[in-house]
Amino acid sequence: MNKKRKSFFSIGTSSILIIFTLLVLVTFAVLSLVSANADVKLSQSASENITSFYLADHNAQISLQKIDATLAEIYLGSDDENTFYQNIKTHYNGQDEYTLEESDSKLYLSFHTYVTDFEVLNSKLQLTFPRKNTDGFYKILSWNLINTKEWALDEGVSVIHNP
Amino acid sequence: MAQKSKSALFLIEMIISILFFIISTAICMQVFVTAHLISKKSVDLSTSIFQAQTVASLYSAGKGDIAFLVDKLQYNENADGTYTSYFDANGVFTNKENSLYQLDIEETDNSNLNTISIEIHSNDNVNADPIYILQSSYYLQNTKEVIDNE
Repeated sequence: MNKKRKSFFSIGTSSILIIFTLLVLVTFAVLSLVSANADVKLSQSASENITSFYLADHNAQISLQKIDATLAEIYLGSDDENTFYQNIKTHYNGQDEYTLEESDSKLYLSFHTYVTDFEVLNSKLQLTFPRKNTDGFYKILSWNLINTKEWALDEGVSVIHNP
Repeated sequence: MAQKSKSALFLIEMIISILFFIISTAICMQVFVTAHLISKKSVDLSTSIFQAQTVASLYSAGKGDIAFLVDKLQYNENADGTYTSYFDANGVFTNKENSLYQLDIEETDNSNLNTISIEIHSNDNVNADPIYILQSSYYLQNTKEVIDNE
């Protein structure tokens, strides 16, 4: 008749409860730390990329300044439009850092500026002879990023062999 | 006697468990606080990058004219010729009291090559290292009129 009632909180139950609670707490703490670290790495990577782009843009603007100064010199030393274009061809032909193209009797000058190991800033200008007082010596046709990394086809790995 | 011994054992277990819980919770809280601080750093950097890019894009859109920026973003000109603006956590330009970040702009002009240096600081500590620095340039091309008159 004298039944012994067992308490719910017998020896060991509290330890199990605390271990479980701590496991949950540690899991969430580690997850939040890993997530925060991943976020800050992503932000730092973005900041490095943007800084590299604007540095390349600055270098490209310096190239533009040099080109403009050269074109002004050529313009001052040319009698007419034909001589102007001819002198440009003579000056830029054979220069490795610039590419001079002629299409539909228009002259185009391109140059690349290093951004990262697999990105360059491509700038293409149309060189023009100024007729009006407000005209310049070039028009910017493109100012864009080009990926130079070769695209490799991912052929994957055959996990299940199909006979 | 057995009942007394069992209660003592339970009490010792509870004390050890609570001590262990307190120590572990304290360590976990430190990890949570560290994660929060790292996360805040990440948010500060992301917001600053976004604002710096906005300013750099506007500077290019305005053809390197600082007056265009001042007009668009409510800048205050400082005595030393630099410009200061403030923005909140959402990147909205606002007054100093409601802001979280300070954005300073300094312009240099090198024969038509206009360059601005954008520095973003946290309002908590303006004298600390900037969160982000970006330089943007715009070359203003020569015109026939300028060259003919040289």
